[in-house]
Amino acid sequence: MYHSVIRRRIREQGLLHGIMLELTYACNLDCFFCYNDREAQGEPLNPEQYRQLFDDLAAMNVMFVTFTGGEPLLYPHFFELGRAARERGFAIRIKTNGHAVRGATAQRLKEEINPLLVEMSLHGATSQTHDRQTRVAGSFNRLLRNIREMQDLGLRPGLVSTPTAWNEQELEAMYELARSIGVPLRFQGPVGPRDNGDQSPLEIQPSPASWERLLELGERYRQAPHATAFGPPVEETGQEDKGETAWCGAGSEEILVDPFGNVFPCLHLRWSAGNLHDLGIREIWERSKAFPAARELSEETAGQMREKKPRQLGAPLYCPGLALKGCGGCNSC
Amino acid sequence: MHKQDTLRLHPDILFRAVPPEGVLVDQRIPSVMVINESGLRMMELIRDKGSRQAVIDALMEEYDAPAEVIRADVDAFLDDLRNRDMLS
Repeated sequence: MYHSVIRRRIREQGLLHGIMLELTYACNLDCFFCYNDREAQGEPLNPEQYRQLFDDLAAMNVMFVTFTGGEPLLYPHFFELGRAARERGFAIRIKTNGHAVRGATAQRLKEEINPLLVEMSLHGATSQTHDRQTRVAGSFNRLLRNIREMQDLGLRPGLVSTPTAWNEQELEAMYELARSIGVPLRFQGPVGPRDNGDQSPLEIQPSPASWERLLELGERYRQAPHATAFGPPVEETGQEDKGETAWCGAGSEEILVDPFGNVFPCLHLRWSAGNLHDLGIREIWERSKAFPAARELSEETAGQMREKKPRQLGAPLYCPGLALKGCGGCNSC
Repeated sequence: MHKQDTLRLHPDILFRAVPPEGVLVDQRIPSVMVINESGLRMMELIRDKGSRQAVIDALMEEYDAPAEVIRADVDAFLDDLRNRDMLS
């Protein structure tokens, strides 16, 4: 029912349901295909501005707040913001590489923020593969140790992975690894260019055969890959809405704010909707044409996909935001 | 009759209005559920008022219905929440 009623209603009524906050582009790993533009410049939002944002979002009945980055725990006021969000009743998701979530930090995460989900990237089923992608030795073993610690504390860890040419031989092993440690794993993709247009991450696209393999595995493990970087982590299991006219949640389910207050319809659709240094989120949400345009793009895409199978960068998926970055829709890659 | 009048939602139960209904997140499962309009209103009153009697009093102000009907509806809803371990 969540799918069939709520997601459609929030789009049709123009309600804002979730927001993703990129707190910083700093990171303690160095993933080869990271999409962030680490050279991006601007005036970061300060804690008081975030508190005002949370007040406004609560008044707008926003349900989900996602903290991401870069590595969100490197943001100097991370716990202050997390507490503020928690106090306002949001369901909080944290997208982290997990490298620092241990010891006192993990304990504070549970006690002060109690997030719905702590989602971490898994880059392979072995330290060799995982560490090759993160470019930090020991990151795989540390991730597994930290996950065990999170579980002991009652945190809710989740894993997300992107198929690449470096890990495509380990897709099934990753599912098995996740199952063995009792953590849900989802795949996403495809690898896209960086937000500054740098195409170098595309060098490690997996083969089309690996996507087909992943679809088979998804059937077995009951998990389909997501055509966006961040799919919904929890959903009531239920029937999809047969009358659904949108391809994705761009401009409705989860909008994006970068570290400098720029607001966008979604992670990949970086159409400027306004800046929180200039306007409040309610004004931006109600005035900007970027959100209805994104919803329209999503509906147009849904119409196109009735006529053909999704395909983008070799994957049987399609993200209209990635397409506008120059990745596709064609069947040639 | 519920002996315990003080009401407090479990900290893993979160909800928001999506008019005319609501979305409820149970972080423990985790799952996202839809609650109907009256359920949403009762959740809001439990959160804001914090006692069974205050919830009943507020609903009697809002609805033109016999007190015993409102009381029975509230108790049934609270029983449902307790069965789901949603009250702490």
